[in-house]
Amino acid sequence: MTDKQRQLFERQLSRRELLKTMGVMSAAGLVGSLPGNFPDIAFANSPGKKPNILFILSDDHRWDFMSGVGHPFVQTPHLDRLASEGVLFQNSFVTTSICSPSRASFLTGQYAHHHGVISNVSAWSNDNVTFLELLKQVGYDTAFIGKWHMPGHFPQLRGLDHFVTFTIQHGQGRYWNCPLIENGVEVPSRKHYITDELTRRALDYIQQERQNPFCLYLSLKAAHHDWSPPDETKNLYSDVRIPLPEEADNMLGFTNGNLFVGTQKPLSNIYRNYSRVVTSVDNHVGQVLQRLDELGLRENTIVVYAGDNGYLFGEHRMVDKREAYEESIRIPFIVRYPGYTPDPGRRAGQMVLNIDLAPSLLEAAGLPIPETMDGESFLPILASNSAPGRKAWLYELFKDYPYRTPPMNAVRTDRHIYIEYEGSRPFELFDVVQDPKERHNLMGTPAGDRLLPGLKEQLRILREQRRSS
Amino acid sequence: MRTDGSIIKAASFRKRVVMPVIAILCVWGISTLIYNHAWRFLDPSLHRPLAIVSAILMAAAISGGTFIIYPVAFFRGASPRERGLACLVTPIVWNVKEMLVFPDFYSLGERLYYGFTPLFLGVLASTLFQMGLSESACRLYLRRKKGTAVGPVFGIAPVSLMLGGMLSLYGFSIWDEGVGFWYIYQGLYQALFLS
Repeated sequence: MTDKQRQLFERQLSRRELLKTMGVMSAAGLVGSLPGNFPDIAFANSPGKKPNILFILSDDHRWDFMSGVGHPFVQTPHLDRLASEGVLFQNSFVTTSICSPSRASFLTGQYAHHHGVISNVSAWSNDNVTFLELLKQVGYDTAFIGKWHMPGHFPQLRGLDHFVTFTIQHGQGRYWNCPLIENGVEVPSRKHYITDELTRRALDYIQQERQNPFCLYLSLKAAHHDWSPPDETKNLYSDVRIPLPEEADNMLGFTNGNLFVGTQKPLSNIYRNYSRVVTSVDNHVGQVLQRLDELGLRENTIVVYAGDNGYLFGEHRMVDKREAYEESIRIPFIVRYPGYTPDPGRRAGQMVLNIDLAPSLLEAAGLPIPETMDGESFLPILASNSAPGRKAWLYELFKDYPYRTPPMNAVRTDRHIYIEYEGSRPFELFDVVQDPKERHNLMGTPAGDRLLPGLKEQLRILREQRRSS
Repeated sequence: MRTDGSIIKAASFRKRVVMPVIAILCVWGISTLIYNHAWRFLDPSLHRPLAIVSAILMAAAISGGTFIIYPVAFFRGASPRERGLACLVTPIVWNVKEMLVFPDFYSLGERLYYGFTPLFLGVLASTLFQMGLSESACRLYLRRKKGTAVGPVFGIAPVSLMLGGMLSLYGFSIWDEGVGFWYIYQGLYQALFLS
């Protein structure tokens, strides 16, 4: 026996490794089957103890800008670590691909047509119920730190113990020296860089002594326009070749109405700075994970990382989000729930949505899921790779002046997307498995003719459900 | 400010106004076509350099054509009004084209309002500034090279154009990193169309 083999033989298994081994043995028939409610026994914390919840939401972080999913140069070691310790949802989407509606969907578990924030200029209603409010009712300490960015008056959020946000630039905030509003009082930023500041405040919050479990909603400005990286990452990726899509060119940011999304630089410059900001976000996620480890909170804290929508970097000769194309609607979505997932590091193929966050966290906290929520809990998928996912879901976009993307409804299945636009833009149908870049519209083709009736019917059903909600 | 026949002999209207305007419109039109369609036919290694060149020409024609049109019109004897209108043709044609291709799911009113985007207003402001600067430069040239004067180099008219243009450009495009006026524009949109 070599030294390495001896060390391996003699060392004690961690709880996770033990569970993993048991799972494998169970599957192999070597031990009796585990009780039906596997997560209950797997969760090592004392019965009745509710998990802490940390939700980190970044801005415009496109799903494939992570080293762990194969980006050619962007480094995200801490997000990769999170994925290796939890579940990476490979097919995760937003139901409306713009900031405010998507953020409201994360908070409420509802579609945009339901919570009412249908664009970046439609107001948040204080009648909306957030999962933070419901968690507060069962004893959670709750905090929202970071970008709120929903139009209307300053929100009166119920059930929130600690609320730090910013209103400057219509809630978009600034990367540098961004003034904050802490529990209603304007305060200066202690750190120059916005992600430093928000992370610092998150760390302070996490390490407060408390009797109750906490739920922290950390909402970052990065990696939104104007893509300003901090000193630590501002020189990264200077020598790499930027892999713009074939149809794109460096001037796209200046043309075709794209200037309205703030792209006043060559596209490759924006791409490079965006990549730097994403790596900066990753560094800050690393700080938070490290602090959870240091405080011994890791095993009793659910960590969720997500982006609020994707971003088109020249695909279809477009810049920005809003569109129903994959680059725009897909988001990074990682969940680490220690003890709950028998096989950490798994990549789940089931489709999950931004509206699934709220019901999932409520279920994790032992709360019933309100019927008013449109999403579904993804906890069964965390617990078992064989849990069924949804078959189809509705994508919706509303008029958002003066952007050129038409209002639309689309149905996305695990294989196809069928998009109906308002106005004269032709409808589109893509096989996203065979044609992941969505370059071949199947409308009017024999394959499209075969698929269309079924997809239209699915879209009709989803629209009916929308009307009833 | 005057350039009359006593100093500069006026060429025909076609030469002093139409031709410089047409020349810049052609640069704009051709570069727009190349920019928007070259990618369909050419390999990225070809269409990308072409896109850079055509986009620069396109932008130069829209927002910098004044530097060509104004002096040409000036030295061919165009009146101040003719010079000013000639300089505005390309930005206006471009803006009308943008309004025409603006998506049809917007109402007529919204499409008309699109004609007043900060981008277009910024280009207009820049054009005014360039007109003032060009006027001063032309006057200076006449004074130094020909020994004649059509008015003070930094007279009220060119200085007003420069100052007005600069201030407007700042308000439309530079103030608050360019987003200040953008939110005014959006706020007005909401007041007009959403309330």
